[in-house]
Amino acid sequence: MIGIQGYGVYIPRQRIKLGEINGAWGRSGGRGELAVATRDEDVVTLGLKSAQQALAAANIPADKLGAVYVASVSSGYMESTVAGQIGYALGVAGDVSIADFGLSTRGVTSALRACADAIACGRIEYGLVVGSDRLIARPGSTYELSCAAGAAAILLGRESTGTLAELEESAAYSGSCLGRYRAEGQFRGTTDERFVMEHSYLDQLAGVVEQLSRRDEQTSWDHVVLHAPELKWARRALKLLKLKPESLVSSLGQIGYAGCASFLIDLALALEQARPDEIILAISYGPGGSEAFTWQVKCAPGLERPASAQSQLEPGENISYPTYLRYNGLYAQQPGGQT
Amino acid sequence: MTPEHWRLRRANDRLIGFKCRSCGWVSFPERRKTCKRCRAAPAQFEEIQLSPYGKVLSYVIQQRLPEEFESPLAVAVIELEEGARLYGHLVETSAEELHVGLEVEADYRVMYRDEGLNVYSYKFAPRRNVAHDPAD
Ligand SMILES: [Zn+2]
Repeated sequence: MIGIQGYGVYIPRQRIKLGEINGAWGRSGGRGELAVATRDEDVVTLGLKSAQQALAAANIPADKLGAVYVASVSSGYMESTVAGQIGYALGVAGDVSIADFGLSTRGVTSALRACADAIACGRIEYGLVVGSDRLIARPGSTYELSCAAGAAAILLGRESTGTLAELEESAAYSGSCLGRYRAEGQFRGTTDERFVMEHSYLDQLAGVVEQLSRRDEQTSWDHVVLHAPELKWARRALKLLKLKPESLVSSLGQIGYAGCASFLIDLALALEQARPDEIILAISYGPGGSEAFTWQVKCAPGLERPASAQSQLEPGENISYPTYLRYNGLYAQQPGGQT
Repeated sequence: MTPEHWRLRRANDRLIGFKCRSCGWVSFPERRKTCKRCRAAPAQFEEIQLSPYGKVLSYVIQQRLPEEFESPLAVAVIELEEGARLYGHLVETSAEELHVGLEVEADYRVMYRDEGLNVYSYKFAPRRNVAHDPAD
């Protein structure tokens, strides 16, 4: 069996309150805050930190890794390698499979599957799957109230005494290609979010759970991780899938939405909250499809470990809106310039 | 022309320093021809894996810098556990907590951008007991 041997989470300490963003645009209200990366951080530095923690927590040296897979929808590069950079900085060597997964937030589970398959067929012993994103929205847009930064890494390997959770079952569902999109150098394209939620998101989540039920008789899960760019999407999905609202594990309310990273951060949170033998259901979403995994918890890490996911959700250093714009490189370069 | 950061890639990404064989002085991240301390020229340097942990020996806080830098910016002489001394930028360090003797750890960051490519190396942040193991 394949299991999660370790994990690491890195959430930047800086926070901007939604009220601060709203205030800058003459709007009132807004509860919650977003994790913001500083000027000298990017998806490589965020991802590397989560990866180093995952290896340190599992006490596995980097030269044991047979794969480093990184999922991100915000690297900003059209050609380059985030996974290669992270692998190199980690110190991997030799016969290592390195791959970047992106363009759809589904990529994070494509990476998990690829890694699990490589272990299952005996090609590699350990593989690291990293989700790292720093989403930047057009100032003043509604996306600005959810886009955040963070990273998480999951170390997979053959089941052993230190295994945190064992992979039980997985399923995929290919759906429509409706969803968020972005051309090179652009902020998000125009998207009817409500239409996407109803005709792509909910359809795919129902579809993948249906696929999963053909392989697994389980119909209730102790902890549920759902990819969702906003909490209201997750709540709609829970209702549709007839899942208990309290089973949802989500960092959205505390740190915002960080694309591929959010899925793995929430999986880490679920591990910390779980007790042995409980089952975690985790479902990804992105334009083009969804994937679902069920994990049986073996030895829960608990909240005592250093740099737990839970501890990093705590409020950090509050920054002002001008600082937020500077960190995200969003100051106009010319009068009236489009940022 | 080959960018210098390509040649220094390994040192920058894996916290590898260059130790003078005659006096033990450690250079990071540059690989030098002469030793800054004992003046050996050409000096013989050996690569050493630096520890990610150290403490601040002295510092200055720069208040006004070109806009590509965050200011105020604290720059410190840091002594790493194995005795190597190097200059490092401090990040996530408030003016109140900064003092001589502050325990710090290496923190991988973007140093600068070269034609759209982010170039990385290690800066230093106050040690917050986060699991950390570069190039283990
Ligand atoms: Zn010397």
